[in-house]
Amino acid sequence: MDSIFGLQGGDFVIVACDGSIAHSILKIKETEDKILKLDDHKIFGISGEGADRNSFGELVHKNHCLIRYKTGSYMNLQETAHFVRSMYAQAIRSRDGPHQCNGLLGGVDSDGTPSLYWLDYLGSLQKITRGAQGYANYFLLGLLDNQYKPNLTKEEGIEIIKKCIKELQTRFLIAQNKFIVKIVTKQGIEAFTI
Amino acid sequence: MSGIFEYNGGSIVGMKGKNCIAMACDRRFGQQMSTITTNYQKVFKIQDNILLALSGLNSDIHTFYALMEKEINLYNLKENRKMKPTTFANLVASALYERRFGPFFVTPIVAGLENGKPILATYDSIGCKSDLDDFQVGGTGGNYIYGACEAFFKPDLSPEELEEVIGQSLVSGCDRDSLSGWGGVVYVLTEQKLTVKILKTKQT
Repeated sequence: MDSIFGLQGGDFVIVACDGSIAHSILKIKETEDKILKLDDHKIFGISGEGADRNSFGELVHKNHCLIRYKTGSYMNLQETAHFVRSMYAQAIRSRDGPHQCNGLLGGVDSDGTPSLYWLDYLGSLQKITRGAQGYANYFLLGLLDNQYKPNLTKEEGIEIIKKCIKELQTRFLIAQNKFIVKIVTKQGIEAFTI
Repeated sequence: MSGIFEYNGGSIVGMKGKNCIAMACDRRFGQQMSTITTNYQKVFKIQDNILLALSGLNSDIHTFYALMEKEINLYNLKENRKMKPTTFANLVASALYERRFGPFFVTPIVAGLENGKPILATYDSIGCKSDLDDFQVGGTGGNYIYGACEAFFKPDLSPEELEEVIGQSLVSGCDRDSLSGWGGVVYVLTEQKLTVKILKTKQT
């Protein structure tokens, strides 16, 4: 039921998520942050059951740090995306089964190039310029395709995300009032709630 | 999960010509009926004279391609020479059979040029190699492409004619298959060079 969506602009990446945690018909929380900060220039929005989201998120974060300690620097976006993909792929044929969560990994490399990657619980990986996970796919892909153009500015990107949120609030059966939006630029990560 | 081969969609085709080979693939990556991206290419250059096309589950395409890259790189380092296409074709078969009881959900096509002679092989997901025909297909649109191939194909086509024939076969096939399409990419390999061309198909 989570909505995670994002887009890549000329020099930034935005990932947004809904903030709700629900158990059956009960909404437990409305301000849950489902976008994990991997380092100062990388974010990973994860959609799935709470337990899987948290445990896989921690696994990715800690392994990401381990590689930093072993090699002396953080991986760049492409390396990180492939690394997370290999974690997913290794799990699908393991005894415990796949990690039951999907993700959108976004960030900006040290040279300023932004990238956004779509990751799936089976280990599918695609570099995208705009996309969504979960039910948001059905509502937002058309809107994102329509509004997107190459080299968006940060302000235009935020406007598009606001339109996406409005679309979900209008048409999605499940009421999702609060959304957490994180933007990564060369300067760092900004977060705000809409 | 039933229809695991149809989960992400995609079609590939390979053809032999006169001292050349061609491979083509569509560009769709989807999740059942939903399309995620339209720029996903399924043909990989393993070596200057070997192309590998993979269709099936996206995750296993990544995994299997990485595995084959690793094998060929190790071979190059150990034996200090390039791998022959027939050797690589056998390697793919045995790599697939190694996972006989937990297979990779991919159907590969290998194409290459060995001393100017074209090599083409296709496999099922557990490594049964088939290299008898002059064209091979794979993926969800495979059956549709078969028909078009039978109609257009002739033995010993030149590289330009082969590019045209394989392009038309792919486009006709993918236009009918709902899980393939969104453009096509054609690779033609001759002794001298590899040409890559992007085709337009029906945009649905």
